[in-house]
Amino acid sequence: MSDSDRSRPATRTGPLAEEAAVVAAAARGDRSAFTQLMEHYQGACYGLAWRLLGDPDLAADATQDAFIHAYDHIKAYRGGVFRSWLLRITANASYDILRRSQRRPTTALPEPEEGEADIADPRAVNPVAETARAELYRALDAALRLLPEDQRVAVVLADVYGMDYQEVAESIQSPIGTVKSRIHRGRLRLRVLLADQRELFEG
Amino acid sequence: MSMTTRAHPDPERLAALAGADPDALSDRELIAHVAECAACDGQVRDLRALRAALAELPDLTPSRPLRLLPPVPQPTESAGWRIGLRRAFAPLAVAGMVLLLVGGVGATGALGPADAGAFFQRIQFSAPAALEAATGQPEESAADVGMAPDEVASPEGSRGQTGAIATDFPRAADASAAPAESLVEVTAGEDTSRDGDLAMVEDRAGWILAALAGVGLLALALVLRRTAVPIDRVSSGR
Repeated sequence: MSDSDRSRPATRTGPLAEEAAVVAAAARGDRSAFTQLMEHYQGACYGLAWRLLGDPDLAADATQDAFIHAYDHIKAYRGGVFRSWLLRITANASYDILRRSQRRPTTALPEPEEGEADIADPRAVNPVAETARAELYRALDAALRLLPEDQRVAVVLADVYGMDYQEVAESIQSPIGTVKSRIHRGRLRLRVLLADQRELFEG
Repeated sequence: MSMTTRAHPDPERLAALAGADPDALSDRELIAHVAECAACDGQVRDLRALRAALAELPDLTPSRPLRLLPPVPQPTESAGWRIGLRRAFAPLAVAGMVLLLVGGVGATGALGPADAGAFFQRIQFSAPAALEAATGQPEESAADVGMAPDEVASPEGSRGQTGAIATDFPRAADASAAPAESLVEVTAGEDTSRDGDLAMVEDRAGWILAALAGVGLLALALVLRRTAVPIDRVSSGR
């Protein structure tokens, strides 16, 4: 995992200013409005794809597939949180790639190397806290990569991106009972994987 | 050690409770156990902290620039000339239909003189007559255009009789005279009838040619329409 793979915006992407108007313009065929939306949400979509696929190139491919699908279907968008709509499309595109490639990328944990940890922003108010937070994110992503694929997908969609059971079930085309079980087992396994790093959660 | 401590619930139920699963939240027995069992309570707290941390995971910057929009459909090079040919369909079709219509009507004789050349000449020479009828001044029409009346008349007759020019045109006169001759010749035998048909075809050759040209143009337009449709018009790809 290279540094560029893990480069992160400071926070999660919030709604775009006057998002409803921009979405409406994009639905009318305004390509610049659609570009504005995709520029705004590309970090969120790529992050989801990367966490599901564990590969930067496949994640970029899935994100672009999702954008093309969104462009073709934006007239069918019926309101609600646009970010969630776009993330569901990204999840579907990622899961399609996952099924096609039948990859199992969780066999090896990329051990953190000396000096490889995310460098905190020196402009941050509390560099120590920022460094600890960056270390927490890195540990979480590493632990997610160790989960079995079915559990990782379910946990990422539900706990990282806040989808409910129904949305996860539709994304991975599985029964809700199966989805619940995968999420719960994934959480328990993550807790075990991160047992040695509990101090990160207590900060 | 109480009974509730010994009978720990399934860990997945604890994970469900940590995730605020409605079924787990409505499970009174589970809630009561967690409230009394420090181990299970600690596990639920850990899982809740884990979920909170997962929900904070930030977005990521793509490892390479992404194409944010699908490409605008562009005609491929191979399709460009075919599109150009296809654009010729409409003017060719219109020209063909006009020629076919005019030629067809002219060939049937509905426009008057059988000969196309005569028809157009008659149109030309009828103009002064129409002017005379409108103004009542037969000499002015010619004088106005700087011509002597005899210059307007046909080469063979009716000098100075501008008003009668149209009917004095020799081909028209020949045509009007033809029925009388034909009447005589028909009585002479069938050969003369064939000659008359041949003469009629020759007289109307211009109209027939125009109609045939119209058919040809229409056929060409249809061929272009069917063969020059660009199949690979849109370039796809990322």
